[in-house]
Amino acid sequence: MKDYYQVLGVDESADKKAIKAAYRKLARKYHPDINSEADAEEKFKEVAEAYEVLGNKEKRAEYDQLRKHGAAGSHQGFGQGHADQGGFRYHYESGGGAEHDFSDFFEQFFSKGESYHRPSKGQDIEAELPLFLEDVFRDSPKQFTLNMPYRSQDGRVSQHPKTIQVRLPKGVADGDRIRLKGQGGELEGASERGDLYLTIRFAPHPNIDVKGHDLEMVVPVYPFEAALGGKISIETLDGDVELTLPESTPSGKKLRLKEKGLPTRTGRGNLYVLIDVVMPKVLTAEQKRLWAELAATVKERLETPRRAAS
Amino acid sequence: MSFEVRAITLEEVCRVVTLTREQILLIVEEGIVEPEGGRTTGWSFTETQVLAIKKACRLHHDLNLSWDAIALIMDLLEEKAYLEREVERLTLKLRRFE
Repeated sequence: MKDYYQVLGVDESADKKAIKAAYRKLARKYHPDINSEADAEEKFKEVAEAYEVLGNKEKRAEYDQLRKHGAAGSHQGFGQGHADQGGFRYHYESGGGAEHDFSDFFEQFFSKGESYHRPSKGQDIEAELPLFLEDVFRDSPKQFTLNMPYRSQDGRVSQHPKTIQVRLPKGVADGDRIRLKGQGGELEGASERGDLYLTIRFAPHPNIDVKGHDLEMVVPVYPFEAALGGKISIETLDGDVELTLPESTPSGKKLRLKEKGLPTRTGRGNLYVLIDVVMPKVLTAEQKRLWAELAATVKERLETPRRAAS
Repeated sequence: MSFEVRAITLEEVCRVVTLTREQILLIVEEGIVEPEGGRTTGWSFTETQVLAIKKACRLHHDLNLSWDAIALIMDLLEEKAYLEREVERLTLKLRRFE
């Protein structure tokens, strides 16, 4: 049997005000629109269910009776003598308020005879669609699987995996929303399924940053390449491209590769390459001599003592 | 499959979220969403705005909050989500220098 007092963290003798305050506090903490932790929704459901009973004078009295005498004795005719504690269900209806799907325990003892607002079509679903940057270049439809609620006539909701195919619109960007009509939850007996709203989320790439449709990456070059300039080949998300390094390129220089970024609706964003000058790991005696010779030819001098770079 | 291009009228919004016209006016007044178009009869909402209205309704119903508090909370939640993404991005970037 569910211990609603424990769920709200209140004493059995708590008054209406204390129960309300405890509920409000927990609801604010665990509301799935506010708390993004994975188990927040479950916690919120429990709290909402507990308050639905303890916040109502008649239901609380009935619940207290059940606690005192045990669930089996007081409710003959319900079939089972004990309540199944698993199988919480909770979801948001597309309507103005939230509708709660409570535990079997609640359904068994507290929801009898109550009339719920019956929706006329399946539930609208909001979900995030994570995409690798590589996916954005592919023209083929993206396939993924989501749990979709199926709501039966008696108000019970079960989750079923559904495979969805979506062709990404050209120029799709992080945070974009896509609405798939009739791809949401199902309602028994209704002709219309709910809609599915997808929010595009680019999975962070370990080495490439995204800014809108522009890409940014750091590329190492040797000091002699940076000094002499020339063409270097660079691996990008959709193949190798050639970058022309100007003579005497300093470390940290940002070079632009036009239209080598992510696809936009009409073209491509840019790719920005940050130059990182690195040293070869091994330095031979011969090379040391040559560096010293080279150093002697440089007439420019850095300030002494050196100052922190701005 | 349709993308966020369709304009949704005030009447449609009322029907979809089962709120009265007056309640939607309050939500707009608080700046929770800003529909296009000057007069209420000419308002057009986007899908994203309808989702924001639904979220506002959930907060209103579940937490018994006033619309002005909801407007503030939704701004802060957006800010929080942005900052979380920034932290994730910068953490990754930092890792490259380790």
